[in-house]
Amino acid sequence: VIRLAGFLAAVLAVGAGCAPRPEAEADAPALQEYPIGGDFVLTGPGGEPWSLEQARGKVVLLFFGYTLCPDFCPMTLSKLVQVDQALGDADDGKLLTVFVSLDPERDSPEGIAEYLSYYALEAVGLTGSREEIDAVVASYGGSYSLDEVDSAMRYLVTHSTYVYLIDGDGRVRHLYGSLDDAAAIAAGVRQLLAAGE
Amino acid sequence: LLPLLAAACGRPPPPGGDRHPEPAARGAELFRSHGCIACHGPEGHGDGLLAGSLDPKPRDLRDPSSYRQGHTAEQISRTIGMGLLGPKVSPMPSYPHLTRADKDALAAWVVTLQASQPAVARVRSGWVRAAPPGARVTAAYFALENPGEAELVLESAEAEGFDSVEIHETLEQDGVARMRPLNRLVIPAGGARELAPGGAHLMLIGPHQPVQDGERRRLTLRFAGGTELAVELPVRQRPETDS
Repeated sequence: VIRLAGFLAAVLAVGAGCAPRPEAEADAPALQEYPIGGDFVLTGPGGEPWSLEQARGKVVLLFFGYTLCPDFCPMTLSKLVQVDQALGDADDGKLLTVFVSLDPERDSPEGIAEYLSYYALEAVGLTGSREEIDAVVASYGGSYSLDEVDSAMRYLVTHSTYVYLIDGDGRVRHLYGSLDDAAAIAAGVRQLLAAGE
Repeated sequence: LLPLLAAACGRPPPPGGDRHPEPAARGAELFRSHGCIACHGPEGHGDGLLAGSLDPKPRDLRDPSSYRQGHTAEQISRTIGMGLLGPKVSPMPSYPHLTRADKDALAAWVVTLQASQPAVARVRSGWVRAAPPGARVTAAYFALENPGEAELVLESAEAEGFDSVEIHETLEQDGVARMRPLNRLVIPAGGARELAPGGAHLMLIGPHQPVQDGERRRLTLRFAGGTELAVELPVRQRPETDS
């Protein structure tokens, strides 16, 4: 169990305090550089190692989830499809969704790939050993826990809901919460694409 | 059915002799011949031809909790004779000219409507989330309205084409989503409960077939006390309002 939500909240609070929101574009987030995240290697499509470095030059929207999640994860993926639609052709080949599974015992690379293929997105699904996943979650200031419950699912995963906006250099530039809509996320992506970052 | 009705009426045949052995059947005839159906509808669902022009509208007689002056045969018989009284004006007139036997026969008929199918709850704007191939779970969402005067407790559900169904709730706090099973979902009397993305939902586990956009899926909701509600929901990728 990783508990870094407090740290993340502090980072967000500091970030919000020192960077005034630009007034230029409505919906445009105040992009900045967060001292979290960075490159990592996990297991990607075909069971091959996948490194965030492979996404250099692309804007990445990363989030943590699991495929046995009936509510939140499909909600987030549907929202990201809307982001892609809102951007039209502007993001073709330049925007990548990265889904990091927090449930490696039940999510195989093939299973995640099949799951993601359903959504009209350029997306990569990642898994790994529990230790590898924990390290990535920790470096992104996320949190999750496996909760045993009275359910046919045996356990459920409680997890961070942030979508991380990562620029072409692999830096975290913004965090979107579940209340941020597709338009807000699209505005951030558009800003990075325009800056060529 | 007859002994049951007699028990429900809880009274001996009226003096003067009711020669009809089946008061409920005669009540059904009277219900039509005296024009009750104009407002109450042929089956007492509150959907007669004139229902739309009335305020308040006739209640659904299947729902015992909707009766303003009681739903027992005796109370209904009295209401037919006196009309609906009380602080709130009602278009329900009095029928003082009816004989006691006729009023009781009508009441017996109306009681059989209650037994037929109580309107326990209404489902509004529901949908099932389309799921990727190979997905092992998905969710159903809807608003449950409780028009009655007693709270309703959703205890379990079944869905055609799924292994099982559980009632779950997503709680999000400080950027962390937690899901937890709920043993029951209470819908307060006269209230509603919204099952929506990011909140309470029915978790549909183990689909036998892919759950695809444009399909319809049938669910059975089971409430405390043994009542059931069958619903058919469209499958969608996302909420209808969310384009």
